[in-house]
Amino acid sequence: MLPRIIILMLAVSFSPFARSFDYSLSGFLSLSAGILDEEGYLYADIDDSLSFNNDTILGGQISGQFTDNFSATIQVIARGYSADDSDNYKPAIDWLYLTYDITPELRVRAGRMATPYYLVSEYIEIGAAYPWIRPPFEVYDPSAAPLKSFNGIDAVLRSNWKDWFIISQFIFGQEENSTFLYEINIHRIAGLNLSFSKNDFSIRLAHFVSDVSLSVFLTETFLNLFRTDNPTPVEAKLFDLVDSKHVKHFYSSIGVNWDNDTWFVYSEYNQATSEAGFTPTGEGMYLTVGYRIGKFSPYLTRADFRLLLGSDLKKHILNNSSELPFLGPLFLNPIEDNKRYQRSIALGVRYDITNAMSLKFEALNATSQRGSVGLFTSKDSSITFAPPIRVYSLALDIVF
Amino acid sequence: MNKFVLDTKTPDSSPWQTFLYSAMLILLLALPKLAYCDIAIIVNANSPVSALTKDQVKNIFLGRLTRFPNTNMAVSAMEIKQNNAQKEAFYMAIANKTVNKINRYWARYLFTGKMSPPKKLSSNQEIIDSITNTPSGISYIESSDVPTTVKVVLTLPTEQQQ
Repeated sequence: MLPRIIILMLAVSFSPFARSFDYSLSGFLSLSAGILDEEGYLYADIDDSLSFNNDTILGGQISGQFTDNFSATIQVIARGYSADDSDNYKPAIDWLYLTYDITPELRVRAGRMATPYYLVSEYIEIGAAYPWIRPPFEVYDPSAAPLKSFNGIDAVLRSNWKDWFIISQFIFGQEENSTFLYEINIHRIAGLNLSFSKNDFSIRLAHFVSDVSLSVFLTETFLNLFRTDNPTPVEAKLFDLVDSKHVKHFYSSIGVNWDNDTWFVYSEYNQATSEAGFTPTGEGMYLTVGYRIGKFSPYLTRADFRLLLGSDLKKHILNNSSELPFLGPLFLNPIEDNKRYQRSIALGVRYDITNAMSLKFEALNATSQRGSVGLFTSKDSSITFAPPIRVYSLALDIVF
Repeated sequence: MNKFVLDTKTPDSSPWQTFLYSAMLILLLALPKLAYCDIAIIVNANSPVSALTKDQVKNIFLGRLTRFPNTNMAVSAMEIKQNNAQKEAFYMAIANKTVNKINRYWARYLFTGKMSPPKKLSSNQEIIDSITNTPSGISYIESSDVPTTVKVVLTLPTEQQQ
């Protein structure tokens, strides 16, 4: 309903009947190409043959100001990457929201907005706004930031405390998301983030709670083969855990940014935990240090990632191994296979061609650890480890 | 003889050289006057604000101050759209930052909708008109362009050439 109202309001505003309507149009384009040096693996959409799809994004944003404190925003994005390649470059409405300024300090929004998990989550599509080719996957991996956007409300409060400028944001909403592999239903997401800035330094704290039901179609089909009419309590608990319905997920993070216009530093640490179920629990961090020399901004990123799947499920199976002689090992295998550990180092450079156009290159050396695939995906599902892999990416970012 | 007295006579000083030296001296003295252009921070003539500090002005133009100090009045900051010398001089004077850096600062807020950058106008005349008609307006123009219809709350000497 709300999306229709917003579109209607924007349409009316653009009509000749609307006078003194203020609007702004902006757009962004990221053309990106990538290749990695090992056969049989994927990093997002990058594999060992050069592809232009992986991070390529075209987006447009229209903001319309109805009155001094009332406006609407719509953002449409076409992405070159989708999980199953069926939706490549299909335009999607990422954001569609109404903004109302209650006071000069307090702004509330309703509609569809970006989920502000981490430092750059809200402008992750706008490559021109950050130094990297893409924010480090070790923190920005979908397992730690499953929702790009959500439907709901938020409140943004600007305040000052001593020399500090503080932006507090509270969000509340819900979202559904599905691919050919899984369906994720976020019944509720609530979160708070605080960002404190002073001169060139800022620190950001964020915490989100969501109530999630996850259906991995393959797992469900598989699970149904083993369901019986009279499961034992131990079996019933196992099915419940694998089912992952209404599981609470927590996302916490701390991020710092310092930028004195010559040197810049970005660093973040995040933790994604789930209360139960066959769901991921992980943590990640990165540190980026960069330096601006004229139009060049070289940077170095060091990052770490660890992800475990279904730790509660594993505990249940191990504690009741005698009662789960057959089902136990069956579910332990995928848990073990989906452990992911990665350490990476990336060297990149951004070259600002003009104020609105930049070219970026990055060489990433990712080492998967503990016999896992790290953040790579193996094209052959029976291979659950990856050797050290180098990923080379090139991107042209334009804002207009 | 006092050895600290500088002997200004040069052995082969020709009129041409004397002229050249004098011209250079005049140019040197005149240069600061050419290079300095003061920037005036202006508000509406009826604004309750009579003076602002450099830091306050900086925070207003970076979106970090939403009301005029010691008043309840919301801030409506506005500035010229194009990246001209006046804008460069202003941001260099208040924040020691180039306009490029200021644009980089705003890029992240612009697309997230958390706060809005100063409203963009296309000429100094438009700025003056808007300030004259907006009780909560604040902007900046070159001191020499300030009309009597607006109030100056701060003057910044700048080192940028016009």
